[in-house]
Amino acid sequence: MFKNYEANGLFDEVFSPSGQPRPHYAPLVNRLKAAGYPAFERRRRMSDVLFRNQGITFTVYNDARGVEKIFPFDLVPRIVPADEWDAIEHGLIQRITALNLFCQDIYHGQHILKERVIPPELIYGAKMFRREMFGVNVQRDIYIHICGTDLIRDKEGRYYVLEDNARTPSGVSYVLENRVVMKRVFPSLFSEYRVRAIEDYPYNLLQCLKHVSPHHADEPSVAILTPGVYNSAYFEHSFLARQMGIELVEGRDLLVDKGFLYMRTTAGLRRVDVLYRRVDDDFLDPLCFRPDSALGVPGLMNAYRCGNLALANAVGTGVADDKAIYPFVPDMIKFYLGQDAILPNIPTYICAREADRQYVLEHLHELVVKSTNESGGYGMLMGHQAAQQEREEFAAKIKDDPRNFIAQPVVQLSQHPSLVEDHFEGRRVDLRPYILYGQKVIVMPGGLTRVALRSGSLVVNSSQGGGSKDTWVLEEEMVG
Amino acid sequence: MLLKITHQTDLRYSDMISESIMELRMVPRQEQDQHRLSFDLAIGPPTSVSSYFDWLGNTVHTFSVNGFHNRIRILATSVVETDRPHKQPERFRDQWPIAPDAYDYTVYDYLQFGGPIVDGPKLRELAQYLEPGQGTSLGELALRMLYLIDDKFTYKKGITTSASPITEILETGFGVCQDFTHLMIGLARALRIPARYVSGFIHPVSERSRGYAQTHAWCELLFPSAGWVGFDAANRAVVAGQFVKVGIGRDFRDVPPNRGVYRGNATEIIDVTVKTAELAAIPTELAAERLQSLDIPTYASGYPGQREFANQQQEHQQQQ
Repeated sequence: MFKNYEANGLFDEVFSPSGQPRPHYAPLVNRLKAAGYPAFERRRRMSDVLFRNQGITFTVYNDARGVEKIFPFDLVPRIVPADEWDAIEHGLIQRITALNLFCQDIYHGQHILKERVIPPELIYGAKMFRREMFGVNVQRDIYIHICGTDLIRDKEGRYYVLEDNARTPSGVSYVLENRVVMKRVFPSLFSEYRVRAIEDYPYNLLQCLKHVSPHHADEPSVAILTPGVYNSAYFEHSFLARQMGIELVEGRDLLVDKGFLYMRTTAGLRRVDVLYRRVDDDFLDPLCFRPDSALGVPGLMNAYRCGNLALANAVGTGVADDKAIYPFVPDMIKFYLGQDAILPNIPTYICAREADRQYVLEHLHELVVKSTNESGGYGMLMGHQAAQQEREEFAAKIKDDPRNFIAQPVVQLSQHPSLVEDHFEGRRVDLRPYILYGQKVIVMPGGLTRVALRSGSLVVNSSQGGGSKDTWVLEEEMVG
Repeated sequence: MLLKITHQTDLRYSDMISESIMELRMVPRQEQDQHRLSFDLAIGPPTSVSSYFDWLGNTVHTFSVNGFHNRIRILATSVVETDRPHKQPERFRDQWPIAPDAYDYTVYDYLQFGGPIVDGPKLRELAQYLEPGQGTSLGELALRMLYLIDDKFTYKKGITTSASPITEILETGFGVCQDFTHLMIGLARALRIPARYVSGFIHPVSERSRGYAQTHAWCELLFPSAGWVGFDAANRAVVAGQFVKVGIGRDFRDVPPNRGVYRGNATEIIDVTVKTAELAAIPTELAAERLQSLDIPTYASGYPGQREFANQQQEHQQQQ
C-alpha cells in the first residue's frame, strides 16, 4: 500500500527522509502493511456507515450537488508525540493569554496603541473593532473563551500559527465524532497507543461557560445560540447542546426584559445567564448592530452591558483575529507577557502599508493573498496557482481597499498519507487545536487535523472540499 | 443662557405591537461650557428605565414594553445652563493643512468617510470652492464652509430622509439641518480636518433660526489651539449660548434621539415637538434626574382583533 509513496519534497508526518516510518508511527505503519488493502477498505466502509448513521454533516454553500454533506473522513490517524505536543500546548496557552489581554486593553486603556506597538489606524480601521465595547466590563475579563488556532508545519517540520479563530471557531464536534468512530473501527490499534483522551471537552466547555456566569446566579443557566438549521455548523451547535445538556436556542426563542435575558419555554420565561453564541456580532442585536438581523435578540447588548449576561465569546474579539493584526501577535506577547512567542507566525505583508502593498502587487504570483476578515477559505488568492486574469482582479481589489488584504509567502504544508483508491498518497494537512479559557486555560490534546483531499492542493478548509483525520496526542511514555 | 427644553416624542402604530425595546439619546451633555441642572424623563406605557454611557460619552436611556400597545410617549424635560462665549474662528492661529502629529490617534474616526458621509467627485468639486492653500487660516476655512453651504444649498423639508447620504443634497441642492451638517462634515474631512456630528436643540434668538421646533443638528471641527468648535451650517452660525448639546458622534447614526425595535406588523408614525424657553432664574425643586411614568395603557391579554394579530405573528415567524 505504501509502494509508490512519495515525499513530494515536503515534510512528511509519517516517514523520515530516509523512507523509514518515524518511531511513533512505526506500529501504525506495520499494522497497515500487515493488514493490506482489503481489510483497510472494509474498515473504511464501516466508518462511512457510522458517519452516515450519526448524521455528521456540514454545509457547503455554492455547490450544485446539494448543501448538506457528510464530512469526508480520512481513516489514517495523525499522531503527535508527547514532547512535540508539550511545546504546542505552551505556545497556545501563551498566545490565548496575550490575545485576551489585548482585547481587554483595546476596549479599555489602549496602552498598546498609546505605546505605538500596534498602529492605531489598523485597529480603528478593523471591521470587527466594536466601539460599542469601549469601557464595557466583561465577566472575569475573559473575552476569548473558545479559540481555534490553526497550525501548519513547513518543509523542516517546524510548527507555525497560520491564524487564530477567536470569534466562533467551529469543528470541535468532528474531532469528538472522529474519535468515537476511530475507537470502533480500530479498537486494538487504538489501545496499542496510549492516546490522550479528548472526551472531556464538552464538560470542560460547560465549566468554562459557567465560570463567567454573572454573580447573581447560583446555578448558572447556560444556552447555545444558533443562527438556525440552515447554518453550516448547525450540526455542531446541536451536538454540543446535547453533549453539555443545555438548551439550543434561536434568537426568536429569547427576549430581553428589564436588563435580563430570558428564553421562552413551555413553562414560561426562564432567565439565561451565559449564552454560548454561535452568531456573529453583527447579527446579535438589531438594536445595537445590524437593524435587519432576524437572528439576534433586540436589547441583548443591554443585558450584556449591565453585566446580567455573559457572552462567549465576548463581543468584539474579531479585532484579535483580524488577519492584518495577526502579524502583531508576537509583539503583543512581548508587550503583555514580556516573553518571546513560542509558536512563530508566518511572515505577513500588510497591504494597508504602502511599502508592503507595493511588494505584494509586484509578487502576486508567489504569494497567498487573504481577505482580513473572511474565514473558511473564502476571499483568498493562491497567487502561484491562479490565472493571470484572477491575479489582475485581485490586484484591483487590493488597490481599492488595501486595509482588507494581507499576503503571505506560500508555505508548503506538511503531508500525511491518505488512502487514494487502493494505495496511500501524501496529502497536505494542518491542525486546529481548541483552547478553552475558563478558570484556567485548557488545550484539548489534539484537535482537528484537516486534509486537502485533492492532490497538490493547499486548501484544507472543509468549506473548500477538505476532509479530516483523528489526531492522537500520545501520553508521556510512548509504546513501540 | 439658562434654558428649559421640553422634548416630546409620540410614536403611534397602525396596529398593536409588542416587545418594544427602545434606546433614547435625549440627555443634554455635561460639558465645560454647558451644565445640565436637571433631567426629567417620563415614559408611557409605564416601564422601568435604565441608562448607560455609550462609547462617545452620550447618556443612553433604555426601556422595553412587552405587553401589547399601540402608542409610546416620551417626554424629556431638562434645564441647562450654557456658558459659551461667542467665538471668532478667523482669529484662531491654526493653519491649513494641519500637521499630522497635531492630534492623537483617537481623532481617526472623525477623519473617515462612512455611512451618510460619502466621499465623491461632487464633494471634492465643492471643496475646491474653499480654495485651501498652504497657510490658510483654519478658522477662515471653516467659515468659508458655512457660507458656501448657505449660498449653494436650500433648506427645505420633505426632500431628504434621516437615512439620506450627502450625495442626495449634492444632487438636488435641498436638505434639512441633518444634511447640511453631514455635508459640512464631508467638506472638513475632505480637507483632513477632524469633524463630528452633534445633535441637540437650538433656542431661537434671531429671526432665522432653523430647526428650533424639533431636534437640531450641527457639527464641530477640531482646532489644535481651541479644541472642538461648533458650526451650524443650516443657520450659517458659529455655535454659541443658545445651543444645547445632546449627542456627539461620527454621523447621525451614532446619535439618533430614539431608536427601537418591536414585534408586530404595523407602521410607525413619529411626531416630535421641542419647546425651548429662556429662564430668568434657576427654578426651585430641581431633581438632577427623575424618571416617571405616563399613563398610557398596554393590553396584557385580549383586545379586539388579537386573534387576527396572533395569526399574523405566526405567519411572520414562519417567513423568517
